Amino acid sequence: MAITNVFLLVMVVLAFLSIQVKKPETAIIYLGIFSLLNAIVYLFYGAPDVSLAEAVIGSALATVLYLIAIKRYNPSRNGLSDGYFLRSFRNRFTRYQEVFWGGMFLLVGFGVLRTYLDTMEEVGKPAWDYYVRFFTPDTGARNAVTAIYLNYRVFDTLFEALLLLVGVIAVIYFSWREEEWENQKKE
Amino acid sequence: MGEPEKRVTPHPQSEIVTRMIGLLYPFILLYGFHIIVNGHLTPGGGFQGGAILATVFITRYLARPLFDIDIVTLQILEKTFFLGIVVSPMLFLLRGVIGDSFMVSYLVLMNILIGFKVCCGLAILFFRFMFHEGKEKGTEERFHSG
Repeated sequence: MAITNVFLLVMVVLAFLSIQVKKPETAIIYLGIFSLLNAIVYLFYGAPDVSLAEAVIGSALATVLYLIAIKRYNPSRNGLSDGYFLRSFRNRFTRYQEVFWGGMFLLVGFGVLRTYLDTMEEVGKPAWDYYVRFFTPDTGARNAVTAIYLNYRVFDTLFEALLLLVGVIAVIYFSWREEEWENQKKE
Repeated sequence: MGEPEKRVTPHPQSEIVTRMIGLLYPFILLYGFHIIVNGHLTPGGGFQGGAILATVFITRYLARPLFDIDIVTLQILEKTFFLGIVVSPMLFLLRGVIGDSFMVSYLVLMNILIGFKVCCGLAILFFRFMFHEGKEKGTEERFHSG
């Protein structure tokens, strides 16, 4: 448990660093390390499936995709100077307002967390018991996660796969529109 | 592979990185397939294994920055796999005919389909991000050379 707490503290520090750092590339690297530690913490909490997904998606794929996106992003084409969003966000609040709103959000967050921790134990207990007891005779799988996402909840899996397909189609569509726009500008 | 195409990054690739990736390449593939096929026994499954297989494309790009992947074929493959994912739960309608022994093979089949679909989808995303403008040119050159 002690190792888990150390990892959680380091994760908080990394999250703070990644929003304070000047260059976005450095922030992305910090987020990659954050995801890796997150995966280790998931492993200690007994969720190896989520840990695997977090390690692959969070620290490998997302880091590479973010880095490419930042490399390809050209702010001068849209008439925006570098760091435009950051500066406009900074200018919107004075320091006292920042402290005030930050404190308010922290209070609300703790309130939400407290209600969540109070109600966490009761919710979903019968389904949990049923799945843990009967998943092997029901589905023939020895990994409960696979039993749930391929048998009990297969419609959710279908729609998740559909969402990935829609995401791919959207990326292709938008990059295609951009090409057309550039071709028109050349002519 | 034919003749190498012109899309090479301006800065030269590191020799060490290229060789190490060439060494790691089959092991990443093996690990991805292991996670997909054993998804019903051990932690992991189609999605995780598919994402690992998609990182193979990224490491391949890091080793040899070429654009010789046909994105249109990958798209058709992804849609076909999605069709398979939609159709294969209908095996449960034939449960009385086939019998209960198909359940494990259903799980393996679904994991493999989901794994390949996720792999194709993430590879398409990566290559669209990477080669934002070179789709038609790349495929045409490929067709003419091959």
